[in-house]
Order: sequence, then structure tokens, then C-alpha cells
Amino acid sequence: MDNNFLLTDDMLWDYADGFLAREEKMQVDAYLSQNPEHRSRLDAILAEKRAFSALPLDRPKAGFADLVMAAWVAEQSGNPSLATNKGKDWIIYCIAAAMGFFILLPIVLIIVSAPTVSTDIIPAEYIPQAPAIPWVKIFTSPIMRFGMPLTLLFFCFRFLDQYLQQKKMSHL
Amino acid sequence: MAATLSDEVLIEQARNGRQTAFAMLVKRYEQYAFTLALRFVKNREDAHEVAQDAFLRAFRYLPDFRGDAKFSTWLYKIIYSTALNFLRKQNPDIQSLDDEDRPVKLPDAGVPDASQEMERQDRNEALKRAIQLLSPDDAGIITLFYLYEHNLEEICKIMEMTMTNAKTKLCRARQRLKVIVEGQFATEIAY
Repeated sequence: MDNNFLLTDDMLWDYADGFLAREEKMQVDAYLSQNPEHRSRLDAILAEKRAFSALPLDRPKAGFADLVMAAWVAEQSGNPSLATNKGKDWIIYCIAAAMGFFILLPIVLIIVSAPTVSTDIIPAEYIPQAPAIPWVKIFTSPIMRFGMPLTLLFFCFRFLDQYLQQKKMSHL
Repeated sequence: MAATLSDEVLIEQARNGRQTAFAMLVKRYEQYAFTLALRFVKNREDAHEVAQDAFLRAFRYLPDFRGDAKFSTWLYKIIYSTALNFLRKQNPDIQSLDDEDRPVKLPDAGVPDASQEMERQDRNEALKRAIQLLSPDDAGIITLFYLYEHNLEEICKIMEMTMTNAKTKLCRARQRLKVIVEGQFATEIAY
């Protein structure tokens, strides 16, 4: 072994990191076996390396991944407002209004057609006759028999589609 | 099990437009990406921005990912270039994240409560703070090599440098860190 061999800390770091060529590594091995007191320097470097490796990772803020995905989905759709779920609110409102209309219409008609004053107080002949609504005719007409279920079905599908999209967004 | 899907499988699914695959990749790498971004930009808010931009760029160019390198290597390269662009926007004179001529800046040790406060910090926290004092390039290369255990070849791809340059830079980063640790954090970081 070369008597002028000088073991520096940088060389020991390179040794620990596996950067030394085979001959250099053998030189260091030989030096350390002849000078065991220098072994502690290498041990300190290995401990330092372990400390580096054991450093905990920094955590991003909560919901970071969701923010990234929302930005990605928005970019994909070409509609930045999608990330905040505000872009297609009008569809939901229209569906809600249509469904509300179909549900409320019969109730309103029943209320309108019902007698509002007791016949015990006022003679029957003075009570105006409620307009006769041909319910049977209305509900058996072809438009109502086919049109209404189809319209309801259409809005139900649209509503379901919207719901699934919202659910997908919230999962991301 | 979805949690054990390899990067390759998730990348393939993501390429086919499956959003959950994208989401799983983000979840898998968010801490690594954020930590590396933080090493470069030194500020949590900025690191969030850089990490998010890097993920979006990665997804945008995912079809170009050929799989020659590991996904992590490719992602870290994007983080590095995103951080560089970010810092250039803040300071147009920046050419690289290295700071060759900058002397190591040590925090003021004369603050009366500083030592007491640091005594409460654990060794990891002190080491992190020491790394924070390095230049972005030094902090990045130390994080990539020792914490993420990337080899020099991968680091060369990420930071676009030659093998000799990477080795020199790592050695210099270590020396600078040593100066900081011995000068400021010697009591906290005792191996």
C-alpha cells in the first residue's frame, strides 16, 4: 500500500456512497484494516447517511391531491368552472323545476277544484259549481299516456347523469 | 387490490383516461413531490404551487413518457424544471438553482431564545433546517440522493447534468451542509 495514502473525509464519503473505483475502494479497505482507529470516522459518516435517509417527508396541506385532481379535471374539460361545480347549475335547477311542476300540478288542481265553503251554512244552490275537470280524459289521452312518462324518464336520466358526475367529482 | 397497483399499471390506466389512476399517482407521490418542491423553493405555499403545476404537466405529457426511466425520476425532473421556471419568474436573473459563489448563510445565533427553542426540536427538524439553508440545487441533490435514494445516473437525468458534475455537486453540497451543521446545529445533530 502507498505510504503517502491520505484518507480524507471526502474519500470516506465517496466510499460510503459507493462512488470509488474498485482499486480506490480496496485501498481504503486496506487502510482501514491497518488503521482501525479511523473506522470511527467511517461509522460517523454512515450514521449521517442513515440520518439523511430517515428524514421524514414533508406533508402537503390536507386535500392537496383533491385540488390537483380538480385542476386536472377542469383542464381536461376545458371548463375551469367545473372545478368548483358551478358551471352546470342551471341544468339542476331546470330539472328540479320540471319535477316540481309535475308533482305540484295535480295538488294545485285538486285544491282549486275542491269546495271551500261548508254546505251546512250556505244553501247548495248558492255555492258555485267547481269546474268539472275531465281527469279521465286527460290521463287517457295519447299525449299524457306516452308524453308524460317519456318526459319524466328523460328528466330522470338527466338528473341521474348529473348526480353521477357530481359523485365522480367528489370522489376525485 | 388497487393500493398495490404498480406505477406502470397506473400510468397505462391513466393514459386510457382513467381519472382514478391519476388520483392514485398523485396520492402516491404527493409527499415526495411536495418535499422536493419545498427543498427548491423554500416556502410551503410556493411548494404547493410548484408541486401542483408539476403534477399537471406530468399528466399532460404522460403520453410522451416512454418508461425508459422510473416514473419518479421523470416526475422529479418535471418538478425540478417547474421549480426553476417558478424561481426565474420571481427573479429573471436565475440561470440555475445552484449558488456556487454564495457563502453559506447562517441564521443569527445571537437571538437569546434561539438555542432554547432549538433544544426542543428533534434532530430531524434540525437537519431539515440545515438543508433549508443550502442553495436549492444543493438541497435538491441531497434530498434526491440520500432521502429518495436515487442513484447518480437518475439524478443526472433529473437535474440535466453530467455524471462528473453531479458527483462534484453532491460532494460540494455535503461540504456546505457540514459547514452549516457544525456552525449552527452541532448540538442538535450529534450522530
